[in-house]
Amino acid sequence: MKKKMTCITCPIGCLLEVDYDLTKKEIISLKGNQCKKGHKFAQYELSDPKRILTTTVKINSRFFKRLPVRSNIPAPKGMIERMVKEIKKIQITLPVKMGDVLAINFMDTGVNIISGTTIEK
Amino acid sequence: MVKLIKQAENKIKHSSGPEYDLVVIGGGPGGMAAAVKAAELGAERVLLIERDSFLGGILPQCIHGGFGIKIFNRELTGPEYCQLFVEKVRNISIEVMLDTMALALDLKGDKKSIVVSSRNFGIKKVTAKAIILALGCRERTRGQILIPGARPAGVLTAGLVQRMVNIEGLLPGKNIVILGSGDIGLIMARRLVLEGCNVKGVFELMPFSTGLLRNISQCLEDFDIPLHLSHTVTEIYGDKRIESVDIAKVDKNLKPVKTKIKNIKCDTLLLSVGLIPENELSKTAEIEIDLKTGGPAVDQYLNTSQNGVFACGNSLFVNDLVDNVTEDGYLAAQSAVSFLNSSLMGKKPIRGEKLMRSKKLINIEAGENIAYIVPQKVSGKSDVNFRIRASTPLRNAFIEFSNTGLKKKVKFVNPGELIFAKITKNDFEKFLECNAKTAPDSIKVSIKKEVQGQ
Repeated sequence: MKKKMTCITCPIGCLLEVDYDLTKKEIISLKGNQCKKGHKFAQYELSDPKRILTTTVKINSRFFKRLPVRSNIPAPKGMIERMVKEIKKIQITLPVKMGDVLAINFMDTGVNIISGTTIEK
Repeated sequence: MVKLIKQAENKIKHSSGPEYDLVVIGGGPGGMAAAVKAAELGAERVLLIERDSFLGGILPQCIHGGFGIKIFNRELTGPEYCQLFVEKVRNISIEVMLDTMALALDLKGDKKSIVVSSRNFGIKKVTAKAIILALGCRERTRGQILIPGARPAGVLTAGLVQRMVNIEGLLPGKNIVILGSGDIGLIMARRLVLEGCNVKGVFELMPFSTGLLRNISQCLEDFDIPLHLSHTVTEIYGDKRIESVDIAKVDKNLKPVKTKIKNIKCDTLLLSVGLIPENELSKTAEIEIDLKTGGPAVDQYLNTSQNGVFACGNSLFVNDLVDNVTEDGYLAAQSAVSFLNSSLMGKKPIRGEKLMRSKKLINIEAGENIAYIVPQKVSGKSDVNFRIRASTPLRNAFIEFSNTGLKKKVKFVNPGELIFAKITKNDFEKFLECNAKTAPDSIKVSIKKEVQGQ
C-alpha cells in the first residue's frame, strides 16, 4: 500500500512517499526524506500517530488570564481534541514555573501536562 | 502625532537624559537576542525598550511548538522560547523599560537620541552611541487587500485573534472563515477548532500556500479543514456583525471569476494576508527603506544607511522562523559592539572584530523570481550569508549572481521558506578583480529553472 505524507519533524517539511505493509503497518520503502527523522516519523504515522499538544488554562494572575501548557511528549493524535477539553478543568495555583507538571499520565495517555512558562503572581 | 512629538521635543530639548552605549528598541526575540549578546560581548550600559507590559513580542501568544530547533536544539513552544530568553535578560546587566514606546529618533547631532514615552515617567529623551532596531512587524489588514462590502464587526487579523485567544482568553466567534494561508492563518485554524469553533475553510488567493508544508499537514489535514487555493473573498455582508462572505475562484491573473461565486455564512472572518515590517520609527530618522522588504536597506553587518544604527528581526524583513530572528539579533549585537569598539578609541577594547564600513559598497539587486534579498549592500570584504525570498515555487532551480559567474543549485524553492546562500570573501574578490576597470557597482541575483540537458 502506498501513501504520501508530509514529515512534520522540522520546518523543511519533506514530502514522503511511503510504501508499507497494510497488516503489519511496517515500511517497505520510503522516498523523499532528507534525514533519518523522516523514517521514524513515517513509522509512527503508520502505526501510532502522535502530536505535541499545546493549549491554555485559565489562571487568576494579576497580569495574565491564560497559562500556556503543553504535553511533555507527543500525545496520541486521536485523543488530542478530547484532551484539550479536559485540560481546561485543571486548577492552577500560582506561582508556576516553566516545566512544572500540572497533571501526570493525563487521561491514561502516558503523557504529562506541563506549564509552558513562569508566572509569579 | 507629529505635532505631539515636536511639542515633546521642545520640552525636553535642554534636559539631557541618561546616556547608554547601546539602546535596543523592541523586546521581542530579535531585541532580546541583541541585548543579551551585546551585554555578553562586553557592551556596558545596555537599554532594552519594550512597549508592551511583558518581554517576548509575539512569542507568548504563539503557544504552538516548532521553535528553537536551531538555537536550543530541541522543539519548544513560543512561551518556552520566550521564557528562556527572558531569563537570559534577567541574568545579565541590561536595563529594561517596559510599557515604553520609542516615538522618534534624532541622529543629527553627534549623539544619537531617542524620544521615549511611558506611563511611568512621561516623555523623555535617552541618548545612545549605537542603536539596534528590533521593531517587529504588523499585520496587513482588510484595507490593504481592498475587500469590498459592508464594514461590520468580526473582520479580524489572525495575529490579533491569536492574542485574544491565547493571552486574553477571548473567543472571536463560532463560525470562522479564514482568508490567507500564511502560517498564522493555518495555526489559528487548528487553534480555533480545538477551542470548539467551526472553521469553514481556509481560502488562498495564490495557487500555492505561503505557509510551511508541515503546517498544512498538522493544522489543516489533521483536522479535516479544507484548503481552497486560487480563491478569495469578494464581498462582506452584515449590518452590525459580519453575517456572510462571498468567495470566488480566481483566474490566472488573480481576478475573481464572476460565475464562480458562492456565499458562505460566518460570524468571523480571519485575515492572514501577510506581514509588513514596522518602520515608522526608522522613517523619523530618514533611514533608507528597501521597498521590496519594507525594512531598512542594510549591509552585511546589518548596519542601516545611518552609521551605528543596526536593524534585525522582522522589522528588517519578515522571517518564517524565530531561530533566524535570534541569529540576526546576535549578528546586529556583534556589529554594534564592533562599532562601539571602533568609536571608543583609547578606551579598553571590547571583544569582537573591528567594524569595517567601506565607502564603496556593492548594491545587491533582486532579479528574476526574487521577492527580496538581504543584505542589500555588501562591502565584498567578508563572507556574506544572503537571505532570499523567492516569489513563486520552482523545482530544480539555481540561484545566479550576475557579473560573478557564481551559480548555486537549489532543489526546491518556495516563497514560504527563506533561502540561505553563502558567498565567500574569495568569490567577491574574483568579482572585484574582473570588474576593476569597468567597475559595475551592482550584482543582480536571480532564481532560474535548470534547463534539461544542459
